[in-house]
Amino acid sequence: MPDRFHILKERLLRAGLSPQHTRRYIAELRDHLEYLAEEVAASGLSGQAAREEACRRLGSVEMLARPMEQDPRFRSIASRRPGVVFVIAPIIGLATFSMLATILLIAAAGAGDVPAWFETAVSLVQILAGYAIPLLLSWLVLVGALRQRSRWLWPAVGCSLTLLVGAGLRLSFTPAVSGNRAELAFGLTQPSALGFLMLALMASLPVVVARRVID
Amino acid sequence: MARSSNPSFLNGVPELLVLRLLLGREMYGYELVQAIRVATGEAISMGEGVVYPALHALERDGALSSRRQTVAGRSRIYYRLTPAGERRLGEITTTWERITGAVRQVLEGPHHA
Repeated sequence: MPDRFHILKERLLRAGLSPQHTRRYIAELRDHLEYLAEEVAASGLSGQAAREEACRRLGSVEMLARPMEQDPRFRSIASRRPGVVFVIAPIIGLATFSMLATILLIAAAGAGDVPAWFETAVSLVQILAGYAIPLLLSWLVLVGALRQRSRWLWPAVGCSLTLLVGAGLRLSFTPAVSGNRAELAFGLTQPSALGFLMLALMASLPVVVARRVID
Repeated sequence: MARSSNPSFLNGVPELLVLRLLLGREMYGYELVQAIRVATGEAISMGEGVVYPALHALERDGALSSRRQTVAGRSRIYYRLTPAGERRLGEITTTWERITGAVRQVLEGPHHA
Protein backbone atom coordinates (compact mmCIF):
# COMPACT_ATOMS: atom_id res chain seq x y z
CA MET A 1 0.00 0.00 0.00
CA PRO A 2 1.51 3.37 -0.96
CA ASP A 3 2.59 5.64 1.88
CA ARG A 4 -0.11 8.35 2.34
CA PHE A 5 2.59 10.96 2.95
CA HIS A 6 4.28 10.05 -0.31
CA ILE A 7 0.96 10.46 -2.15
CA LEU A 8 0.42 13.78 -0.39
CA LYS A 9 3.93 14.98 -1.21
CA GLU A 10 3.59 14.14 -4.91
CA ARG A 11 0.20 15.84 -5.06
CA LEU A 12 1.46 19.03 -3.39
CA LEU A 13 4.58 19.23 -5.56
CA ARG A 14 2.51 18.79 -8.72
CA ALA A 15 0.18 21.50 -7.45
CA GLY A 16 3.16 23.87 -7.42
CA LEU A 17 4.21 23.97 -3.76
CA SER A 18 7.91 24.47 -3.21
CA PRO A 19 9.84 21.31 -2.25
CA GLN A 20 11.08 23.02 0.92
CA HIS A 21 7.59 23.94 2.08
CA THR A 22 6.23 20.51 1.17
CA ARG A 23 9.03 18.81 3.13
CA ARG A 24 8.30 20.90 6.22
CA TYR A 25 4.55 20.24 6.03
CA ILE A 26 5.04 16.48 5.63
CA ALA A 27 7.56 16.40 8.49
CA GLU A 28 5.10 18.17 10.80
CA LEU A 29 2.31 15.79 9.80
CA ARG A 30 4.54 12.73 10.32
CA ASP A 31 5.48 13.91 13.81
CA HIS A 32 1.85 14.69 14.57
CA LEU A 33 0.85 11.19 13.47
CA GLU A 34 3.51 9.67 15.75
CA TYR A 35 2.19 11.62 18.73
CA LEU A 36 -1.37 10.63 17.85
CA ALA A 37 -0.42 6.94 17.51
CA GLU A 38 1.19 7.05 20.96
CA GLU A 39 -1.87 8.77 22.43
CA VAL A 40 -4.28 6.28 20.85
CA ALA A 41 -2.12 3.33 21.91
CA ALA A 42 -2.08 4.67 25.48
CA SER A 43 -5.89 4.71 25.42
CA GLY A 44 -6.01 0.95 24.85
CA LEU A 45 -6.04 0.40 21.09
CA SER A 46 -3.09 -1.51 19.76
CA GLY A 47 -1.25 -2.22 16.52
CA GLN A 48 -3.02 -1.61 13.25
CA ALA A 49 -6.20 -0.31 14.89
CA ALA A 50 -4.24 2.38 16.74
CA ARG A 51 -2.50 3.39 13.54
CA GLU A 52 -5.77 3.58 11.61
CA GLU A 53 -7.41 5.70 14.30
CA ALA A 54 -4.40 8.02 14.36
CA CYS A 55 -4.57 8.39 10.56
CA ARG A 56 -8.30 9.07 10.73
CA ARG A 57 -7.80 11.79 13.31
CA LEU A 58 -4.99 13.39 11.32
CA GLY A 59 -7.25 13.65 8.25
CA SER A 60 -7.45 12.17 4.77
CA VAL A 61 -4.97 12.99 2.01
CA GLU A 62 -7.73 15.02 0.36
CA MET A 63 -8.37 16.99 3.55
CA LEU A 64 -4.65 17.64 4.09
CA ALA A 65 -3.89 18.55 0.47
CA ARG A 66 -6.81 20.84 -0.36
CA PRO A 67 -6.01 23.86 1.87
CA MET A 68 -2.40 23.88 0.69
CA GLU A 69 -3.40 23.60 -2.98
CA GLN A 70 -6.05 26.29 -2.72
CA ASP A 71 -3.80 28.95 -1.19
CA PRO A 72 -1.76 30.60 -3.98
CA ARG A 73 0.68 32.02 -1.41
CA PHE A 74 2.11 28.53 -0.91
CA ARG A 75 3.11 28.14 -4.56
CA SER A 76 6.77 28.34 -5.50
CA ILE A 77 8.18 31.05 -7.77
CA ALA A 78 8.92 28.39 -10.38
CA SER A 79 5.26 27.40 -10.37
CA ARG A 80 3.99 30.98 -10.59
CA ARG A 81 6.59 32.28 -13.07
CA PRO A 82 8.05 29.27 -14.89
CA GLY A 83 9.19 31.36 -17.84
CA VAL A 84 11.23 33.63 -15.59
CA VAL A 85 12.80 30.85 -13.51
CA PHE A 86 13.47 28.28 -16.23
CA VAL A 87 14.14 30.48 -19.28
CA ILE A 88 15.03 34.08 -18.47
CA ALA A 89 17.10 33.47 -15.31
CA PRO A 90 19.61 31.02 -16.86
CA ILE A 91 20.09 33.19 -19.95
CA ILE A 92 20.63 36.28 -17.80
CA GLY A 93 23.05 34.22 -15.66
CA LEU A 94 25.03 33.18 -18.72
CA ALA A 95 25.05 36.70 -20.18
CA THR A 96 26.14 38.18 -16.84
CA PHE A 97 29.00 35.72 -16.46
CA SER A 98 30.18 36.28 -20.04
CA MET A 99 30.12 40.05 -19.74
CA LEU A 100 31.82 40.12 -16.34
CA ALA A 101 34.53 37.73 -17.54
CA THR A 102 35.12 39.86 -20.65
CA ILE A 103 35.30 43.06 -18.60
CA LEU A 104 37.77 41.40 -16.21
CA LEU A 105 39.90 40.27 -19.16
CA ILE A 106 39.93 43.78 -20.60
CA ALA A 107 40.81 45.23 -17.19
CA ALA A 108 43.58 42.66 -16.72
CA ALA A 109 45.05 43.38 -20.14
CA GLY A 110 45.45 47.08 -19.39
CA ALA A 111 46.64 49.62 -21.92
CA GLY A 112 50.10 48.19 -22.49
CA ASP A 113 51.30 44.82 -23.74
CA VAL A 114 49.04 41.94 -22.82
CA PRO A 115 50.53 39.51 -20.30
CA ALA A 116 51.75 36.09 -21.44
CA TRP A 117 48.90 34.25 -19.76
CA PHE A 118 46.23 36.34 -21.44
CA GLU A 119 45.57 34.02 -24.39
CA THR A 120 45.16 31.06 -22.04
CA ALA A 121 42.74 33.10 -19.92
CA VAL A 122 40.69 33.96 -23.03
CA SER A 123 40.50 30.26 -23.96
CA LEU A 124 39.46 29.39 -20.42
CA VAL A 125 36.67 32.00 -20.44
CA GLN A 126 35.55 30.71 -23.85
CA ILE A 127 35.30 27.16 -22.46
CA LEU A 128 33.49 28.34 -19.35
CA ALA A 129 31.01 30.63 -21.15
CA GLY A 130 30.54 28.34 -24.14
CA TYR A 131 30.30 24.95 -22.44
CA ALA A 132 30.72 24.71 -18.66
CA ILE A 133 28.34 27.46 -17.50
CA PRO A 134 25.53 26.60 -20.00
CA LEU A 135 25.80 22.96 -18.95
CA LEU A 136 25.77 23.85 -15.27
CA LEU A 137 22.76 26.15 -15.75
CA SER A 138 20.92 23.47 -17.75
CA TRP A 139 21.55 20.93 -15.02
CA LEU A 140 20.23 23.35 -12.42
CA VAL A 141 17.11 23.96 -14.53
CA LEU A 142 16.50 20.25 -15.06
CA VAL A 143 17.14 19.26 -11.45
CA GLY A 144 14.93 22.14 -10.27
CA ALA A 145 12.17 21.02 -12.64
CA LEU A 146 12.45 17.42 -11.44
CA ARG A 147 12.36 18.43 -7.78
CA GLN A 148 9.30 20.57 -8.34
CA ARG A 149 7.59 18.05 -10.64
CA SER A 150 7.25 20.89 -13.15
CA ARG A 151 5.77 20.42 -16.57
CA TRP A 152 8.53 20.01 -19.12
CA LEU A 153 7.77 22.78 -21.60
CA TRP A 154 9.48 25.71 -19.84
CA PRO A 155 12.54 23.77 -18.59
CA ALA A 156 13.03 22.29 -22.08
CA VAL A 157 12.80 25.73 -23.69
CA GLY A 158 15.13 27.20 -21.05
CA CYS A 159 17.77 24.49 -21.47
CA SER A 160 17.64 24.61 -25.27
CA LEU A 161 18.01 28.40 -25.38
CA THR A 162 20.80 28.44 -22.78
CA LEU A 163 22.72 25.77 -24.66
CA LEU A 164 22.11 27.50 -28.00
CA VAL A 165 23.39 30.82 -26.67
CA GLY A 166 26.35 29.06 -25.02
CA ALA A 167 27.24 27.17 -28.19
CA GLY A 168 27.03 30.41 -30.16
CA LEU A 169 29.19 32.53 -27.84
CA ARG A 170 32.55 33.40 -29.33
CA LEU A 171 35.40 35.10 -27.53
CA SER A 172 38.49 35.56 -29.66
CA PHE A 173 41.83 37.22 -29.11
CA THR A 174 44.14 38.57 -31.79
CA PRO A 175 47.64 39.39 -30.52
CA ALA A 176 49.32 42.63 -31.48
CA VAL A 177 51.15 42.23 -34.79
CA SER A 178 53.43 44.74 -36.51
CA GLY A 179 52.17 47.91 -34.93
CA ASN A 180 48.48 46.86 -34.79
CA ARG A 181 46.92 46.72 -31.36
CA ALA A 182 45.79 43.44 -29.82
CA GLU A 183 42.07 42.76 -30.18
CA LEU A 184 39.59 41.01 -27.97
CA ALA A 185 36.28 40.21 -29.72
CA PHE A 186 33.15 38.93 -28.05
CA GLY A 187 29.92 38.06 -29.82
CA LEU A 188 27.21 35.61 -30.80
CA THR A 189 27.63 33.44 -33.87
CA GLN A 190 25.44 30.74 -35.35
CA PRO A 191 26.18 27.61 -33.31
CA SER A 192 27.13 24.39 -35.05
CA ALA A 193 24.45 21.71 -34.96
CA LEU A 194 26.98 19.16 -33.75
CA GLY A 195 28.19 21.40 -30.92
CA PHE A 196 24.64 22.04 -29.80
CA LEU A 197 23.73 18.35 -29.97
CA MET A 198 26.79 17.41 -27.90
CA LEU A 199 25.85 19.97 -25.26
CA ALA A 200 22.22 18.83 -25.26
CA LEU A 201 23.29 15.21 -24.76
CA MET A 202 25.60 16.13 -21.90
CA ALA A 203 22.91 18.32 -20.34
CA SER A 204 20.39 15.49 -20.35
CA LEU A 205 22.71 12.88 -18.79
CA PRO A 206 22.31 13.99 -15.16
CA VAL A 207 18.52 13.78 -15.50
CA VAL A 208 18.80 10.00 -15.63
CA VAL A 209 20.82 10.04 -12.40
CA ALA A 210 18.70 12.74 -10.77
CA ARG A 211 15.51 10.77 -11.37
CA ARG A 212 16.90 8.04 -9.14
CA VAL A 213 18.44 10.32 -6.51
CA ILE A 214 15.82 13.05 -6.14
CA ASP A 215 12.97 12.25 -3.82
CA MET B 1 -15.74 6.34 19.65
CA ALA B 2 -15.24 7.85 16.23
CA ARG B 3 -16.05 11.53 16.03
CA SER B 4 -17.36 13.04 12.86
CA SER B 5 -15.89 16.31 11.65
CA ASN B 6 -17.87 19.39 10.75
CA PRO B 7 -15.69 21.21 8.25
CA SER B 8 -18.45 23.25 6.62
CA PHE B 9 -18.89 25.21 9.85
CA LEU B 10 -15.20 25.78 10.35
CA ASN B 11 -14.34 28.52 7.86
CA GLY B 12 -12.10 30.94 9.73
CA VAL B 13 -12.51 29.13 13.05
CA PRO B 14 -9.11 27.36 13.07
CA GLU B 15 -7.42 30.73 12.50
CA LEU B 16 -9.30 32.32 15.39
CA LEU B 17 -8.60 29.42 17.76
CA VAL B 18 -4.93 29.24 16.79
CA LEU B 19 -4.36 32.95 17.33
CA ARG B 20 -6.25 32.98 20.63
CA LEU B 21 -4.47 29.93 22.05
CA LEU B 22 -1.05 31.18 21.00
CA LEU B 23 -1.64 34.50 22.75
CA GLY B 24 1.09 34.71 25.36
CA ARG B 25 2.33 31.15 24.89
CA GLU B 26 4.26 29.37 22.13
CA MET B 27 3.19 25.85 21.13
CA TYR B 28 3.99 23.19 18.53
CA GLY B 29 1.32 21.68 16.27
CA TYR B 30 0.29 18.63 18.27
CA GLU B 31 0.29 20.61 21.52
CA LEU B 32 -1.88 23.26 19.89
CA VAL B 33 -4.42 20.70 18.65
CA GLN B 34 -4.65 19.22 22.14
CA ALA B 35 -5.20 22.72 23.50
CA ILE B 36 -8.01 23.29 20.95
CA ARG B 37 -9.67 20.02 21.95
CA VAL B 38 -9.51 20.88 25.65
CA ALA B 39 -10.53 24.51 25.23
CA THR B 40 -13.57 23.65 23.08
CA GLY B 41 -14.57 20.57 25.05
CA GLU B 42 -14.15 18.62 21.80
CA ALA B 43 -17.20 20.41 20.40
CA ILE B 44 -15.21 21.43 17.36
CA SER B 45 -13.82 18.49 15.50
CA MET B 46 -11.68 18.56 12.39
CA GLY B 47 -8.86 16.64 10.76
CA GLU B 48 -6.03 17.51 13.10
CA GLY B 49 -3.62 18.02 10.20
CA VAL B 50 -5.72 20.93 9.00
CA VAL B 51 -4.14 23.09 11.70
CA TYR B 52 -0.81 23.16 9.81
CA PRO B 53 -2.02 24.96 6.65
CA ALA B 54 -3.61 27.51 8.99
CA LEU B 55 -0.32 27.88 10.90
CA HIS B 56 1.70 28.21 7.69
CA ALA B 57 -0.68 30.77 6.23
CA LEU B 58 -0.59 32.84 9.42
CA GLU B 59 3.19 32.64 9.49
CA ARG B 60 3.38 33.76 5.87
CA ASP B 61 1.14 36.71 6.70
CA GLY B 62 3.46 37.67 9.55
CA ALA B 63 0.90 36.88 12.25
CA LEU B 64 3.06 34.07 13.64
CA SER B 65 6.75 33.39 13.92
CA SER B 66 8.29 29.95 14.32
CA ARG B 67 11.43 28.33 15.68
CA ARG B 68 12.65 24.76 15.43
CA GLN B 69 13.69 22.82 18.52
CA THR B 70 14.65 19.19 18.94
CA VAL B 71 13.00 17.52 21.92
CA ALA B 72 13.61 13.82 22.73
CA GLY B 73 14.97 13.23 19.24
CA ARG B 74 11.99 14.87 17.52
CA SER B 75 12.23 18.15 15.73
CA ARG B 76 9.36 20.39 16.79
CA ILE B 77 8.38 23.68 15.23
CA TYR B 78 7.12 26.07 17.88
CA TYR B 79 4.81 28.90 16.83
CA ARG B 80 4.26 32.18 18.63
CA LEU B 81 2.14 35.25 18.05
CA THR B 82 3.73 38.39 16.61
CA PRO B 83 2.46 41.93 17.24
CA ALA B 84 0.76 41.76 13.82
CA GLY B 85 -0.87 38.51 14.96
CA GLU B 86 -2.19 40.18 18.11
CA ARG B 87 -3.77 42.92 16.00
CA ARG B 88 -5.29 40.33 13.68
CA LEU B 89 -6.67 38.40 16.64
CA GLY B 90 -8.37 41.58 17.83
CA GLU B 91 -9.96 42.16 14.42
CA ILE B 92 -11.15 38.57 13.99
CA THR B 93 -12.51 38.43 17.53
CA THR B 94 -14.55 41.59 16.93
CA THR B 95 -15.96 40.19 13.68
CA TRP B 96 -16.69 36.81 15.29
CA GLU B 97 -18.52 38.43 18.24
CA ARG B 98 -20.60 40.56 15.90
CA ILE B 99 -21.67 37.52 13.85
CA THR B 100 -22.38 35.26 16.84
CA GLY B 101 -24.30 38.11 18.52
CA ALA B 102 -26.43 38.53 15.40
CA VAL B 103 -27.12 34.78 15.17
CA ARG B 104 -27.97 34.66 18.89
CA GLN B 105 -30.48 37.50 18.40
CA VAL B 106 -32.17 35.53 15.65
CA LEU B 107 -32.27 32.35 17.74
CA GLU B 108 -33.59 34.09 20.85
CA GLY B 109 -36.00 36.39 19.04
CA PRO B 110 -39.73 35.86 18.48
CA HIS B 111 -40.78 33.05 16.16
CA HIS B 112 -42.14 34.11 12.81
CA ALA B 113 -45.02 32.33 11.23
